[in-house]
Amino acid sequence: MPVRLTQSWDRTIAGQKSSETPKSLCYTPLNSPGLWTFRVHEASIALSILDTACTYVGNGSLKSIRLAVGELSAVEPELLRFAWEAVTQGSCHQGSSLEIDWCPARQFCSNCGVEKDRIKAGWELYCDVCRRPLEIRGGRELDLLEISYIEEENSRP
Amino acid sequence: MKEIKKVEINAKVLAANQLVANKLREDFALQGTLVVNLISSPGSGKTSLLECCIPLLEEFRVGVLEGDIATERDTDRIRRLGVPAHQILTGGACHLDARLVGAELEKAGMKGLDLLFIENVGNLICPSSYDLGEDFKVALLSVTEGDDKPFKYPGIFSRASVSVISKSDLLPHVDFDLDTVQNQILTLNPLAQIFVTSAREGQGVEEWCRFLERKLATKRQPAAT
Repeated sequence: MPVRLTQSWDRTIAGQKSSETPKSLCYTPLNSPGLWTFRVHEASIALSILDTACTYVGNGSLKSIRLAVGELSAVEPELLRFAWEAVTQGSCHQGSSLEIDWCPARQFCSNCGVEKDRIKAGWELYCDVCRRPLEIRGGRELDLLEISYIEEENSRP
Repeated sequence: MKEIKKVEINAKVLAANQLVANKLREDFALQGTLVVNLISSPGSGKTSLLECCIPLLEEFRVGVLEGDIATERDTDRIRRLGVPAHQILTGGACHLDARLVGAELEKAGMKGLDLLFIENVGNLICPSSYDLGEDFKVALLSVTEGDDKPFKYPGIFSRASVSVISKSDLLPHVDFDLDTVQNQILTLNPLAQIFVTSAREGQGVEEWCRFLERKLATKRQPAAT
């Protein structure tokens, strides 16, 4: 499959008003071998994270980002890490790490008021005790929790 | 001088998409447009469902946004029904986002519709994270895909308030247990509405259309004071 810049990547950058574009986004990793990742949604998610984080760091460089990712969020941590490497490549944020707090979904019986882990291979339909249908709680997290960065004067070319 | 700083943020990663989606939702509410976001794997019958329900919705102004990686085939199919359709080519991206939908709606000049169907890119995973300002997401699952899919793709089935089991005419030929699937869907989303349809033989299509009409009527009801 040929690797080439996709329209969606253009749009992601072009869709922002240039005056509002954080400095750190003003590069395009055209030659990045990981460009195909911009076709998966983890890439747009990585860009969203970068976008938000950049509004906090000013001229500094990111060191680490802590995220909460739920198992129902449709985000695969390893792909997200890979996408993060790609979107930060060549910038001052290159080498920063994503720390991901994985949030499993849990099963809840509203009748017994009991919440428990879901079974390994799947989901249980009914409560062991009262045989009523179980509900699902949590697991939808996709939150940017915390960033750490190095504040540096004149760090930018 | 270097100093490591920590900042607590606690924001949704997709907050920017959410802002645009909220704005779209406001616009749709003002125009009284019911918006349906159709999500499924490729070939589950999203376009076929539209082809068989749009003729039954002729008293409504219907519009369709077609999300695809390539080709305008789906848009052509919908235009043949005589309703406005606009193709969004994502150039490889696996999902639609709110900004794209807003921009393309503007480009297409689609306004003042009763019903807007957004047919997402064929993919059961990525589109589930993105709010497009829709009233509800619909997850389609064709009976040939297997009855274990809701538990295998819990993200979308827990978010879609409506599930459509399509190609029901093929049920006699495949090992697909409707009860199993319904149980799985309801476990993931106890309030989910489930329709069983066949675009080929028309089963369930009337019911699906009446459901859309009820949803539209509810949306247009003046808020209770």
